[in-house]
Amino acid sequence: MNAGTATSSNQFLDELLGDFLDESAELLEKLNQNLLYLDEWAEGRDDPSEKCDGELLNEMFRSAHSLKGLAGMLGFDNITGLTHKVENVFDAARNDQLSIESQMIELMFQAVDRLEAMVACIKNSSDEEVDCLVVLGGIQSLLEETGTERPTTAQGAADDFFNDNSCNASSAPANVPNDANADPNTLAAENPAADDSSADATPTKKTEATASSIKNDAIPADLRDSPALTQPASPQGNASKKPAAEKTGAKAVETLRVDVERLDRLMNLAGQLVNNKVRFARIGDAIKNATVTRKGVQSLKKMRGSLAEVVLEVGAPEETRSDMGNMDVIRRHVREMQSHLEILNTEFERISSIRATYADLNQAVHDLDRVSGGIQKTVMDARMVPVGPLFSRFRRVVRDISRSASKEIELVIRGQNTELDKRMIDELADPLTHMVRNSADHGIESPDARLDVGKPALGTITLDAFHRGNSIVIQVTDDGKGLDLKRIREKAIEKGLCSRDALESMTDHETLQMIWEPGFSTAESITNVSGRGMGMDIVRSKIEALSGSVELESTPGAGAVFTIKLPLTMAIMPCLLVEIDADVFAIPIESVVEIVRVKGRDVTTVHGKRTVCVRGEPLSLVDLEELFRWSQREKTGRSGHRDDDPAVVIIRDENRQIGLIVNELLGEDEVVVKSLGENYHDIPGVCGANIMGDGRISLILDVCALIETSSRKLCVK
Amino acid sequence: MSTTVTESVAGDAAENVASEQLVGFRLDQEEYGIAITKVQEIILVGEITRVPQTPDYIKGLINLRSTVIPIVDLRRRFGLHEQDATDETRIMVVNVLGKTIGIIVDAVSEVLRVSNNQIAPPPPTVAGLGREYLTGLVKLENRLLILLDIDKILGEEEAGSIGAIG
Repeated sequence: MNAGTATSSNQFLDELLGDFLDESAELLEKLNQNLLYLDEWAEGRDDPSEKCDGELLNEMFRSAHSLKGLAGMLGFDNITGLTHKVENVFDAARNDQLSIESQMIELMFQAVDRLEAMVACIKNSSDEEVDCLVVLGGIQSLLEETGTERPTTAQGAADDFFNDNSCNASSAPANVPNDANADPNTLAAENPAADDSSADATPTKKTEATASSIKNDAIPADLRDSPALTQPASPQGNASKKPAAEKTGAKAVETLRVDVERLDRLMNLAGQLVNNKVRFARIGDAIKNATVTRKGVQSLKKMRGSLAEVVLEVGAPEETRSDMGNMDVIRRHVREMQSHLEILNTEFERISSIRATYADLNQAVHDLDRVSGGIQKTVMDARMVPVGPLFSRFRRVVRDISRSASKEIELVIRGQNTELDKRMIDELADPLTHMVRNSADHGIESPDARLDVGKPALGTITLDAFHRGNSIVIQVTDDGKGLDLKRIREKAIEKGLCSRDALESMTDHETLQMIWEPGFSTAESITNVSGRGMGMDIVRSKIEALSGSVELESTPGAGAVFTIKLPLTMAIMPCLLVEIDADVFAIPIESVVEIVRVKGRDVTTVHGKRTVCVRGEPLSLVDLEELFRWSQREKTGRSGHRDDDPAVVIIRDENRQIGLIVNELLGEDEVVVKSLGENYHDIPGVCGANIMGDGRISLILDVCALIETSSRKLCVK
Repeated sequence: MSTTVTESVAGDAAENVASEQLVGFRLDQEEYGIAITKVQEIILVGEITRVPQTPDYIKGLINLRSTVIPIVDLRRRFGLHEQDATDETRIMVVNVLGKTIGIIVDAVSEVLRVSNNQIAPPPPTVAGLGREYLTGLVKLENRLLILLDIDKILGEEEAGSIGAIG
């Protein structure tokens, strides 16, 4: 085989692998979803013998079967082995050979978790071994119990196991061989999944009981730990494209898998197209300004008129005049002037016709605008995916927490069809998980506590997504007890985040914001679910990295609301362009409240800060010079002259406003955001760079950071 | 995009000694060399947008075919005195640790091939701050070329000004 075919087959494998990762994630997502439905149904039924929806079981069987096929094709034996078992369980269930019990569902959940972990391992090409022996053993015993799998002799069962799961043979001698010596029933009882009470003690007990048998070093952790074990891996596994919320297949839309990188490139090109369009518009304006004005045309006309009059005046030949010679000279000059004027006139008309050309150009630019706008929008849409699948992933999170903490929590999902940039969806998974866990773990009270304060025992967490203006808002709302302000204060002092005096003067809202400080966590104890992993400061910085913002509101006793606000897209932003000290800056239109011109004499100082009243509201004025530290050498000779009555752009972040003094307003533009981090690193106060129509670069101001700086006076001069 | 790059092969090809190609440039009175593999292109100095909260030697940002890249003023980086741009001043666009950046140099002189036996370690006299930025000296017929480790020069942000090298 020569090198050429080797690469092409490698490429083919890579593509196959990519398809596998996508599809397996989709299948597992679906499986998870359907298991939740099944779980709900099993919980809700009155009669344990009630028959389950056959179609649901069929669908799950098919999902497992498809996954088995996919994995088998690529030789992922561990996945094939486990899915084979899962498939058998569903097969038995739909043939009524197996009754659907909560332990069976739990087992299936564990199996799906393991499968997700395995897929994640393949995705990250890590060699980590996913330990699925307990699950395999559990399933085996379940099937044996129902008689669907040969209840062979003990040794036979073990052999059977090895044959089925040859891939696991290396690490297999842990659970099943031990148990294979016992009879199938005790095995089921000893199995942690089957019996929670024995779960914690199982590993050690078993070792003692069957010390005679095989080496026991690879005893799996007990199953109660496993959700926590596998959860960190699972968010990555999700790449499902269609809203999994619908149970039955929606209308078939023809789709094509496209590399995200290609879309990124396309997006970049679309951005450049927008830049070019802006440039054309500028050129058009320049041409327009270069053509004759109405005034010019008029004065030319007047000039021709008066010259004609002069000709009339001097034109009549008067023989009698003595100064004939003089008049002749004048006449000749006038005629000459007239002919020159005619030439000028034609020239003028020619120039005027450029105006018509300008109109044409203007039309062309307009068309270009439409096309580039269309391309930009289409490319953007292509990157958009509904938020539904991301949201429904939290059903599982909430279910697990409510089980383990014996709470009753309902997850309400709204706005699942709201679309978000794919990258944002990916980046949001972790912060959202954190918020939902926080709400479920700390927010919602136990059923008894809820009943005590007159709330329904069933707590509600709502995930909502909707458009507001030019941004997308995602809210996580719970009707729990809200955040404990007293506790936050104590904690802030304890952690040395804030002095007692400073806390005294804080409003409740400000106190609440302490939770975003690095090193803060209100968790009373570290539980399985929250209080570990990332803190709220990381949640915040993750969202800010997406140019978004996050707010928290809390009403004691009534619950808390996390509000995440994200820009519609990260690639293009409408901005106001301003000139400050000979530099051009772009301010996101989103943050601009209004533009005012203030009178120099109206500016007063409050605590040394320049302040002005705009319609009765005090507003502090800042110079960019005060907020930014410019390198010394660049500064010299920069600050141009300032108007006595400067223009002020009022910018806002949440509920704080400041007035930024600018030298000149240049207008509004669609701005393609280029990250500084790509080739340099991020700069505080600047959220990116923009290439202007003329090819120069302007900086895009990070309004949030600017206001922060100005209010904290952190600026170092 | 005019460059003043000329090819001159200085190595001894017949001896088959391992050799590498360098881009030579001038800064103040001295000549430096960077491995050609690091250099992406050489461009004229255009308008540079200044950037706040950056060290002195970051001159600003430029637009390189729709990519925004930072520009380092090597004179400032080495603590040399300021000099206005001349006709010879160039920006060398280099790739450093996966990032693309531009460095301003007084002039780009040539591309030359040197064999490894022409490269000597830096003399002990330049021990100290400057030393870690040079990987060696290249002995040419009647002059010396300072080999710069461009990765290190740009990697350290905190060093605002550094004593002149050599």
